[in-house]
Amino acid sequence: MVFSSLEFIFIFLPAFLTVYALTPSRYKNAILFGGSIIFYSMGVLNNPIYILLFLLTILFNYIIGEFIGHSRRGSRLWLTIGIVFNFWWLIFFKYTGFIFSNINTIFRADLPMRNIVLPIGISFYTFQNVSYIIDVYRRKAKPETSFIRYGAYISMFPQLIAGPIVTYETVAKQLKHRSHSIRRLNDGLMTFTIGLGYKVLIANEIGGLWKDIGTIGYSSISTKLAWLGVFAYSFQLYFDFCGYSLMAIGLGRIMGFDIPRNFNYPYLSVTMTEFWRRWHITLGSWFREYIYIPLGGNRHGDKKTVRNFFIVWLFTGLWHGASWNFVIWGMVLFGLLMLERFVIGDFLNRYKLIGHLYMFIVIPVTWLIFAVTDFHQLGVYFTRLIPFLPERSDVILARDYVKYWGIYAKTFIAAIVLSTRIPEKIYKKIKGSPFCAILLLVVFWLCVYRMYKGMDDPFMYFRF
Amino acid sequence: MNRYKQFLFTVLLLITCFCASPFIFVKIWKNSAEEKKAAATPPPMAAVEANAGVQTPTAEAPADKPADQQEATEVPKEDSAAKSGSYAYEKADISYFNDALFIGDSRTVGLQEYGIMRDISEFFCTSGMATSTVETSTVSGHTLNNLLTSVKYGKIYLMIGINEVANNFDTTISNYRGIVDNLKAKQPEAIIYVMGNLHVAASAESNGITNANIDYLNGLIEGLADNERVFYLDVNPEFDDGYGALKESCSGDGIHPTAEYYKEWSQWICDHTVPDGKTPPAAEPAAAAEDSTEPAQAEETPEKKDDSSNEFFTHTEG
Repeated sequence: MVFSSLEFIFIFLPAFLTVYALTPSRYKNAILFGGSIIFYSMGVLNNPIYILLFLLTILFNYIIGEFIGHSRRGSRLWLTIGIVFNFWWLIFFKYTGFIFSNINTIFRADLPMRNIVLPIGISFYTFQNVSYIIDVYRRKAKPETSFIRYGAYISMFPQLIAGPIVTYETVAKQLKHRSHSIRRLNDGLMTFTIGLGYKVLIANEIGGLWKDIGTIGYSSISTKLAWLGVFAYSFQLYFDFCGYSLMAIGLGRIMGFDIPRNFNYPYLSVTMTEFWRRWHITLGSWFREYIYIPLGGNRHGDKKTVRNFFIVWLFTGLWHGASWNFVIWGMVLFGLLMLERFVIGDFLNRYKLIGHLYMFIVIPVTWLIFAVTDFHQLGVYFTRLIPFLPERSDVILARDYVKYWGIYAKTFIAAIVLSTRIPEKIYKKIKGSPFCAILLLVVFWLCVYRMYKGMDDPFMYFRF
Repeated sequence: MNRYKQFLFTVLLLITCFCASPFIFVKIWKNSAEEKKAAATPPPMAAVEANAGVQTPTAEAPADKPADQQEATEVPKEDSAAKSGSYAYEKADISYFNDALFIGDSRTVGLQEYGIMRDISEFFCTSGMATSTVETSTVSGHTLNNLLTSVKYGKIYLMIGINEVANNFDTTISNYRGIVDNLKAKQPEAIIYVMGNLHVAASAESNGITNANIDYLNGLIEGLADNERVFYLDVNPEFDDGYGALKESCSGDGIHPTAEYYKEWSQWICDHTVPDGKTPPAAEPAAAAEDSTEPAQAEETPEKKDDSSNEFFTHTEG
């Protein structure tokens, strides 16, 4: 089930919140756990066994956590078993096909290629489970004694399918005791509505341009349209994911959880380094906390630092998808980050205008590598981006960019404005006012109207 | 009252949701019921035989050709070389399209943007166009009748139906027939091509928009062709994947071919033409409302760009 669907907003959510509100505090976690499992099962209707797998994973990690927490001696062994168990499932479901197809290509083998359906949310809940057991091992967190509470933590539906990746200690206190109020409900609903608007009114809309370009065929677009396209994709990705994270935060708030912010105006960055502290913040934190720092971070000299960055970005790329273009994307980012670290970073930070121009080019181009899985197509698109190359195809529609700008201009402008801090500043000022309530009400119903007309797409990060 | 200001949003939301919920529930219910129905309904193949017995009501050509109709309404799955009417089409020069009018939906828009005839022919098309909306739509300030009464076309291409393939076939084909009759009446000398709707890719088939349904509708459309004034063209064999669906590589979204393929398609249309002058002048006085037919115009040469009757010919990019 997607947050931006009529079923979720008008059936699941009201039903859940009613039951949740009427339940005494003692059992609220159980309701959260149960409701989240129902939510999860709606997403895996074709493979109900995945529900079992999910529950098994929760149980297993809960037990491992207890073992690690209560035994000094064997805890390293338990940690290893836990990590292997968690990652084994992720690798099996997500990367087997990729691994097999590469072995087949390199070694001319003939390993069977079966189409395995990915259990939804596996990339997210795996990382959460692993962060928990590592934190318990490090004595950073106390093992959760209640299975229900642990289950509620991992499965809580606001962040189950697409993050943010919430670490255990972020919500540990709130799992035990949290306060509910009408004010929180109101705040949470407003945040949810903003996220919904981002997704339905901006991301889905502007994603239409990227889809249109795919329909035309990359070889048949003009250079100007090609650039419009990558900007459209960049906006779609941002508003889709950021919107979803906002919806998660809003829903969490209603239930008394403080889910951490996942995006902090990434498109205002002047360097890629800064960008990755503002984009998918919880993922970056996870990699820093559980891979980069254990490897030594930047504390053992330049060579080791470079190696550590390389490993982190190799895996960051792979986490996003089991395909070579994601690996290349990760490696390109690694290259840029190293370039900034050792050469141009200070310069870009000092001359911010140049930094912005640099990012203006680098962001859409790197997202292009992320977006197009087929190398041939990627190559075709790249040639379209370069204005000096003669147009290969005579099929291109003259002034096609005029047509598409005409259709998408309003959305582009809205996207640009919403990428800045201006709206949030305004929001903070008008938050308590009736004007704000009416405005968000309008936003909400516009979104519902759109969904009603059937123009909704599943969240882009769902292949995770 | 002040306290309520704090959760005004929640209150307004609850009230409006409460009021709207019946409509929303109905929509959700209908949506899931439709999906189940579409999955369960087999394509109306059984009705194909029934259709074979139907005579074309437009007795344009004096001799009714039931044999042709039998061929036309056979389940058009296999062999398609015979599909594009059983007529020996010829290649033409691109100037053939100087006096052409293309009517249709988003696939025709694709031809308008990427076809070889894009700056040459007149186009009356828009995304979503359907048999029920052709006569009432306005495109670039004209209605279809505006165009039909102000310009003389040598040939008219009609391709429509994909947006209605999940609707009642009888209604659709009867609308379609009405459109063809109108074209014949207003443009008595024009060659009329009715084009089979392009398949969709196997991955894009959904709720009623299936290749089986498209084939069925195309079969009905083919039944309107008489190979004298009205001709049937179907490009599907060129772009099919061997299983009755559009080749995945032809399309980005499974429904619209890419620009390159629109170009190929338009070239195919250019290679399958009825030469000007081959159609008999309007024999049935009932059909030709106006009496402006001159024998000279029946043999119009492909070169018509300087012809005075093209004064009103506006090349709009729409």
